[in-house]
Amino acid sequence: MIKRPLIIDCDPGIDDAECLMMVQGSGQFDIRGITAVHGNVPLELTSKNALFLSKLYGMDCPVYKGAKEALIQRLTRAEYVHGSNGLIGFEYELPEDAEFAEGHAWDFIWEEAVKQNGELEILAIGPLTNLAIAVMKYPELPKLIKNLVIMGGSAGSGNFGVYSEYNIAQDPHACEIVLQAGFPNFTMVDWNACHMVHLTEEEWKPLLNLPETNKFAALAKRMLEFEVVNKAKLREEGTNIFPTGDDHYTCDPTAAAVLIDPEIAQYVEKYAFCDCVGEMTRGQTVIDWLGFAPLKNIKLPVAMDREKFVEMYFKCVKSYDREDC
Amino acid sequence: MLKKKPIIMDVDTGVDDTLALLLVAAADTLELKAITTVFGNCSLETTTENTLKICELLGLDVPVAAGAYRPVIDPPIDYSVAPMVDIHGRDGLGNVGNRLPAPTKQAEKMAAADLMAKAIKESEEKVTIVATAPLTNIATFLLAYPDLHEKVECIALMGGAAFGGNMGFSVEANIGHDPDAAKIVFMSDVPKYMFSLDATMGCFITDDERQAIADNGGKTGEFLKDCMQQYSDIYKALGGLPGAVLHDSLPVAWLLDESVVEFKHCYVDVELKGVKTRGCTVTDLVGYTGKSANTYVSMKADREKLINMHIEAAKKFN
Repeated sequence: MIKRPLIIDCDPGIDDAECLMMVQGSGQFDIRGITAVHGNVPLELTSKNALFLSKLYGMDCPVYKGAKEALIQRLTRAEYVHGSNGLIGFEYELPEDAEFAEGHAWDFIWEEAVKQNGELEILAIGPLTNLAIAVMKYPELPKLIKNLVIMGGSAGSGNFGVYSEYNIAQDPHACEIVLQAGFPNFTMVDWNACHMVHLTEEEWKPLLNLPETNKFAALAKRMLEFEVVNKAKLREEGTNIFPTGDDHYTCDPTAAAVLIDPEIAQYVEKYAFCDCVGEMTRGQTVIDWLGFAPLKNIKLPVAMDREKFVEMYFKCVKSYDREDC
Repeated sequence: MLKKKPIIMDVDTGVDDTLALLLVAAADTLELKAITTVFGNCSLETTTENTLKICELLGLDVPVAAGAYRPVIDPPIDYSVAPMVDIHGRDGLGNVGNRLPAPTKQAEKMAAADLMAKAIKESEEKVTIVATAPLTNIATFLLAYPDLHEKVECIALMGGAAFGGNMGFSVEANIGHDPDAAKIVFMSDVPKYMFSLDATMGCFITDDERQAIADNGGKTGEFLKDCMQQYSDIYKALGGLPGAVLHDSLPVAWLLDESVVEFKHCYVDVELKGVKTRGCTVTDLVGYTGKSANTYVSMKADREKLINMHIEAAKKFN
């Protein structure tokens, strides 16, 4: 099987860690590189976490640093979900040989797109700043990207504002640039879609008891234990924005699942823009439901196969049981 | 005898305003005190003439006053190019308005806000204001008569959307045609019920049901059916729906039977600054703003009940 060439643009972020686990665990991809971006925590941490995760999961690929800040906007970070270091305080030491690749994220994306000659896919699961800079610098880029899957935006309610989702709210201008850039195959896995899949308590409990040799084991345990504590705290404060119960909801892995097997979802094709200036709608990905606009620029998942997601998730987790992976 | 609920209608007649007025005219439980008109579906001149005509058609003998011809801040709408013409017809009555005789009565020589105030002062009971148009008149009344707010039972307005839009992607037309007026209304201390697209988009009328209005409503029913023709065609063509959507009827239907609508009580504010989201009714269903609920938002409507009300109402005109 020829592996699909892929760049992952991310801001790890605990759900990025799960997402990377799935992408690598699926065995489908030739991961050409990881580009880190500011987001869940500052770039210094997201890039370091990305480097650590690439080594943990045995991805033999360069890791680039990208944008430190949004194009225009300045906002605070989501430490309440991701802990102070982005990996909910999970402590690790970088292997001695771990180092960042030289150069900028956006130049790497362009060079790789040219090299792959129309076959490159991109999974972007953080603010879209790196991608926006790449598009600004290389307007021909979209045409060379076979498939762009992002986790971001919302077609309904948000998780940052009334209508805005966190990744997009961090850099609405970047989102608008990317939406209008003309990517021919652009799937927006939005906050709504991320609510269509989850692991039930019964399903996620076994993740606490993975064999120690499994490379995802320690991180999974930390993530789920932190989540239980965090949810209890949010409930007590009355600020729990997650769906009820003890199910494990997670964002970025939903995008991984859509990338790995697009048939996991049903889609509608719509036109969307991102509001950058509204007092209350800033960061909203506004969907043209009725079709006022003459064009479409995104595919939006409107239904997801949860059972299939669970099956996929655990198949990926299991791939790390092997010592040699 | 059941006590009648006193109401004022603020309209921009309009095809669906006409159907809302049908429900009012046939209702035993509502007492219509006054009607005020405003620009919206058509120019103020046209909405006022249409309202007078429809009142005579339906036997509604109440004072009518013309209000705002333009939004408070946005420029006046150029009706020679406005897309509403394709929906409500050049005459606002589906291009069949000329089948009705010219109105014998004239609009009152007073400001719309003054007529509202007069009706509210004269009423023993608190008065419900039903607004099925841009909120310019309502905002003017609220600003001009702060002492009368407590005599307003509630404002039942057709407009806005928690999700989606029909003027912009996330902007509903009644709010979008005067976002600043809407802001004034949502900021006010008067109880508010927002009959939004979230519920009204489900309130379509099929061809068979439209025919039933004609079959049961004599000449009046026949006129109403034809008045909805173009409106229905455009909803089929552009919206992919089985027929015309009777947005404006929903608040009236709710006054007749509360079970027609399901609400969520939450904070609603109007976006004024967004380039393409100006006029979006930002509806905080989850509670991000931390602000207390100020509006009941319609999330769902019972379409069949609503349509049956129209057919039953038409029978009274046979």
